[in-house]
Amino acid sequence: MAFEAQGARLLTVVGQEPFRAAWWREKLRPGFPVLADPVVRVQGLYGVARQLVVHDEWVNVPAAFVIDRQGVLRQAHVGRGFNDRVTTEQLLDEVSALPR
Amino acid sequence: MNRRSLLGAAGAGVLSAWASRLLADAPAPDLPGALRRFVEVDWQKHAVMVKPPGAEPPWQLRLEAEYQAACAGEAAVAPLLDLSEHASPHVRGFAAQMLGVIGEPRAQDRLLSLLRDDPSALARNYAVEALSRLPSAPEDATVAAAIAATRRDANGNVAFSAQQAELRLQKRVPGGNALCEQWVAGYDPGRLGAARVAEPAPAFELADDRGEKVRLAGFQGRNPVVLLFQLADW
Repeated sequence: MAFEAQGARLLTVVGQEPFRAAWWREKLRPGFPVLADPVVRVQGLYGVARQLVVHDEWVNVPAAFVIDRQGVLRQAHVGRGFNDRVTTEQLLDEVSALPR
Repeated sequence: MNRRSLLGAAGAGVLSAWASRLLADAPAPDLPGALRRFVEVDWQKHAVMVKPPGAEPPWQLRLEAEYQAACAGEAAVAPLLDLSEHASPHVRGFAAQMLGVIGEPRAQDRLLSLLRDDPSALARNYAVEALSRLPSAPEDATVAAAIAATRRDANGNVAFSAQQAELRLQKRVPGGNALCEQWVAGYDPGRLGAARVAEPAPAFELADDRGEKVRLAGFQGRNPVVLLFQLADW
């Protein structure tokens, strides 16, 4: 995967229990871990929790954060709507631009 | 284990979690205030798939109410049962959600009637998930039948949630009590929305889909991390 070639690691967080994270991973096979955040603690920390109603449920806004090797947050993409998502290409560009 | 002793065990767990949070300078218990602030919001106005500019929902108030209800445990049951009959489907859905998280056996009849009679798909959606979280659910034929019937709900989202609720029962996922303790232990209102560009990314540790713990700090000094709060076909 192109991100791996840059030394980067992808993580995705769902606001659900581990058995549902496993269900999503099986269904979508993203190739990276699906982390379970059932009490939306991390979604809260990153300011994305419970902001839209999608599929008759209060869910997080789509978001992507780029964190450098030192653990510093470098890019924050927080969508306004369900389909307002940053592209894979842009995230790859941002990872490539991080200092080595 | 009977229902009473299950509830007792859950209550003790929540109490000890509360005690450790008090030592850690956690916010004071204020269930009535948190519920009042939550109910005063016009959630229907914010119930959108795309947020208009300048119209942020007060999501922090929902998290506060969830946290306070989880912390209060059994003391939250009576007010949540009241709220499960509120005029707003968002409030009814919230009440159902938290009755499931607390794992309250006395909520079973109310959740069954929400599931059967509530005109709002959102309220039915939270009710079916909550039913599957009750400690009694895996052994209760009435609950199993209600969840199975909900797989044919006219609303596809509710039918999908019923499928996931059946999966929870089949896999014997620990019920609401376990979630309740995580809520009590893990919430920090002073840190909501704490992520800032050019500052250290907020630390976390979460279980992955195989139950393995993943710590953000585990990548420090080695790998950049792209942290996604979205599922997509990557």
